[in-house]
Order: sequence, then structure tokens, then C-alpha cells
Amino acid sequence: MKITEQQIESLYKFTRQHYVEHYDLQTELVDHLANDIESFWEENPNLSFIEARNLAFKKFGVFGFMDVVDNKLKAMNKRYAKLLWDFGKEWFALPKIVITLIIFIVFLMCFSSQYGSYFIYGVTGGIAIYSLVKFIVLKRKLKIKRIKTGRIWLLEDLIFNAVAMNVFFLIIHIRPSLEIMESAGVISWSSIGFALFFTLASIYSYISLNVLPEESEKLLNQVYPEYKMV
Amino acid sequence: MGNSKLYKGSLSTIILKLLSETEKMYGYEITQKVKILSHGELTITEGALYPALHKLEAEGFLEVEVVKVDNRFRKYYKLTEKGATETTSKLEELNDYIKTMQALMSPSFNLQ
Repeated sequence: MKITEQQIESLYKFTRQHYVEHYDLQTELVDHLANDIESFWEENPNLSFIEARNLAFKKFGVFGFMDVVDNKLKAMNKRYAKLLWDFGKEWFALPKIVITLIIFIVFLMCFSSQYGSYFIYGVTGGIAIYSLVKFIVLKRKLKIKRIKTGRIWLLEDLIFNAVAMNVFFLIIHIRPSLEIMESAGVISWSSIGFALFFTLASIYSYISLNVLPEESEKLLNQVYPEYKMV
Repeated sequence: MGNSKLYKGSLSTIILKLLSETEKMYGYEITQKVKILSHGELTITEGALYPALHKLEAEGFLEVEVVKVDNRFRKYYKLTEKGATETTSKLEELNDYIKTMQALMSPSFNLQ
């Protein structure tokens, strides 16, 4: 006995009800459950779909899909970090390293001036505002896409959540940063430290806010072979 | 096998070894293959298999291929070049471990 199209749809719904939010993982689990259900039917054709499904689900243990979901997130985070690194290292090799050095020198000059602390506020605020605007624009774009396709992909979620993380990160750091700057004096090691920090933060923000969201379609196609099939 | 902890650390090695012998495999197929090869002595739980597969994939040891089978998508795993090297090294590690365990379990003392 084979599983019907309708039953496959019901398995997708079942995974969603058990906190598997992302389509890529849902697809793999649906195939697994379907295989197991069909194997149960071979042994006992009188089993109902629900009974066979529950038996298959039971094999995942008391926490159901939770372990699989948690570990998939960890694995994908690793992959996301690798993507960031792959795009990031371009900024430390020719020709982009020239831009990195220019950003660093400009920050160093600004933070070493008597208005250093104002520049810290300015740069942090600037990145935070830009991130917020970007967040709203990208979130809307993503929402429209999700309504249209009805699917959420884990990597896509990470790419767009990183925008929210960026805003959060800057907001919680703005005040402590200023306090350190004020207590450290105007020209000191801290100016170099801040210049380095904000250079890296600018590059990180640019990659996570612009490059990865713009490249997301291409990246999703690379990571998920099924992306263009659905 | 009563003590599942014994094979827990070897799960990645088992997966890599199976994939080195076959062109590609999907999750459910791996669980069944292990059951058959071990004559039902070893059961890979679903809750352990997928995390291990996803970890190996994220580390670049496995690549995936998706095929539409019947009315659903099936995700196949294949070894990458890096994965093939890792398999050799993992198997060597496991063999060394087995040899050490054998030596410990049945020592032939030489008191000279």
C-alpha cells in the first residue's frame, strides 16, 4: 500500500504541529515517516494511516522532532557562519582590503578627535537606523514571498533574522561603548580598539544586511536542491 | 545491542562507511541497512541519525541530492571528496580503538 498525495500533505501538517517550522526539514521528515508508514502497512495492511503514523513518530523518542530540529539549527548556524566568513575574508584580501583600511583610518581619525564619543554615537546610531530600515524592508519582502509560496526555509530564516540580531547587538552596545570611550580619554589604545571594532562591525553589517539577503536566492538554490523543484 | 552508548560515538563512522560503499543513501534507508547488516542487533534511532547526518553535511563531508520519488521529495546523501578522506581516517581510528580494546580485554602477559 502506498501513501497518497493527501496523506503526504497531512504529514507536512503533522510536522508543523510538532514544531518543525522549516520546509527543508519538514520534507526530509515527511519522507521518513512515509517510508516507515508504508513499511508498517506491508507487515499489517489493516493499520490505519493515523495508527501507522503514530507508530512511526514514536520512534523519534519522547521529545519527538525536537532533537532533530535543535541540531539542524546548530548545523545550519555553522553553515551560515561559514557563508559570512567566505564573504568576509574578501575584505581582507586585495582589492577590498584597501576599502577596509580606508574605513579603519577614517574611524581612527574620528574616534581620536575631541568629538570621539559623538562619533561613536553617530556610527552606532547610523548602523542601527540603517539596520532597522533594512529589517522592515526585508521582512516585508520575505512576508510577501512566504504568503505566496507558503514555505519557510531555515537558511532564509537565518539570513533575515541576522538583520534583527544586528539591530539588537548595536542597541545593547551603544551605551557601554560610550562609557568606555568617555573613561578612556581621547587618544588612547581604545581609539584603535574602537576603530577596529567598528570596521569589523561595518563589514559584518554590510555582509549580513546587504550581501547575504541579495544573494539569498542563489544561496538557497545551492544549499537546497529541491528549492527550484517546488 | 543492549548498550547504545557503545555505538553512539561511532554513528558518524557507520554513516560514512555505508556511504563509501554506496553511491547515495537517504535517512530511512540508512536505518534499515544498519538493521539488516547487524541482524537486528543495532538500531539507529531517528533522533540520533538526522542530527548526525546534518552535522556531517554542515562540515562538508556530505552533499545532498533531492529526487522526487512517488509523490514526495527524497533527500539523498553522498560523500564529498573531503568526506571520503574523513571516512578513511575515522575507520583507522575505529580500528585502532578496537585493537586497543581487544588487547585490554584479552591481554597476553609477558613477564620476562
